[in-house]
Amino acid sequence: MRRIKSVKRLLILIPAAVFILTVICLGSGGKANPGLTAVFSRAPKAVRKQQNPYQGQHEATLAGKKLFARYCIQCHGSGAKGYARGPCLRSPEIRDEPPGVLYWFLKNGKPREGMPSWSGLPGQQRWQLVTYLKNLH
Amino acid sequence: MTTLNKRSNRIHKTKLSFQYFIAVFLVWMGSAAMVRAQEGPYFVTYDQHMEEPGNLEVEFEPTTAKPQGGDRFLSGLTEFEYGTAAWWTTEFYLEGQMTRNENTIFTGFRVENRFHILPSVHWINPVLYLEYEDTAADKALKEVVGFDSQDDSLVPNGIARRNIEREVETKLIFGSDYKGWNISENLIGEKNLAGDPWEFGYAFGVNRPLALAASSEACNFCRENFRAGIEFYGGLGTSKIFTLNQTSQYAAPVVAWNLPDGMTLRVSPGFGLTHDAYGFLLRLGVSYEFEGFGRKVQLLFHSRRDQ
Repeated sequence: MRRIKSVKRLLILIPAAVFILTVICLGSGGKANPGLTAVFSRAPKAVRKQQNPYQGQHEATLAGKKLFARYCIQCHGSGAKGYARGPCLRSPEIRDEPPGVLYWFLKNGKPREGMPSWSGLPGQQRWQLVTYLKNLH
Repeated sequence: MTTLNKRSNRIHKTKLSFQYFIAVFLVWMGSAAMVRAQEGPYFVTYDQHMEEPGNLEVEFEPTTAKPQGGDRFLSGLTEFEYGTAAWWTTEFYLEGQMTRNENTIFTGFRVENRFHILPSVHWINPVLYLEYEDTAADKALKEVVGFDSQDDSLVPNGIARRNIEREVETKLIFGSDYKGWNISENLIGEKNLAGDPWEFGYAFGVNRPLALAASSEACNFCRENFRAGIEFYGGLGTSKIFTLNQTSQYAAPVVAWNLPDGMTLRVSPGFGLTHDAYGFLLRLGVSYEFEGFGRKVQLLFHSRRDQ
């Protein structure tokens, strides 16, 4: 009876240990972004012409700032100054790229290199984020 | 008598050290910043979105229902969901249940992994889901497959818990986002390792935030913090008899409230559409997301290279 109990305990402990080891071994949760220019260069031509419907709207910048604090700050740091997992977003790449490219990148991400896709956010909120990013400079 | 005292002391010490461990663990987890993520409102349907890399979401999910001619039960499912990578999420569940006029029991565990199949976002995004579960007298109703029926829960816990089910479950998840709407479809195949035929099921859900654009002020009750929708799920028979006859089918409205401090509350009243389904079941979900959990664990075992 005691032996059966130990086997039962092992059957629970082994998967739990596997879960914990996965967390430890892959704890960083992805690599840092390799280079924004290279990533942005893959954006389709059509998105380069897209206009930001919130461009120049102060309210949208504030909403974007709020969204940034919720979703992005953990990787890109406070004020988008960069952190161990995400690059600084106060960069010429962000300033110079058309807003449609930033919108496209937020939607698609680069999951294999650590940047999640934010396609779950409604388009309006992604544009608000773009508005905030464009106003960082 | 002395042996009994020693044993009772040992049990007391073990209990204390366990409580101490839990307290330390909670304080340590609490030191990780909590964040709000893209939490959907579904309970059964999976969408294509993964846990944010490095984050840990802890969720408690109680479900209650009353089978016809049986006693009401309350099942509890504790979920630990970790974003291993942006394309890979791993989860570990512990389950238990209590049935009126019976005892409260631990019913088992499950481990699951979800993988994004395609590297970029498309109209329809497929995700592969693999799960191993080891349960007995399980009433969590995390999925409905085969000929699952409310009659299954009429078996007393004392007998049901002897029948341990070791199962492998696979799902093909398809998810799309369109103008704020999320539309997700799951095809489920479950195989009992004891040799029973494959059991099939499905889940389908749609949901949308109550506001598409975010407001400029920090708020708990902003409409963008709420998501509402509906999910449908049920069994599709087995590999021997693929049918809707004598299966359980449900329709369940779902609502989620994402609070800015990292907590998500969800509720879903489910309605049985067939004779074999529970007439009514109520699901609740409370979850916290801990940002940078993986990094904190890693720092415990490695030197601080990035600091």
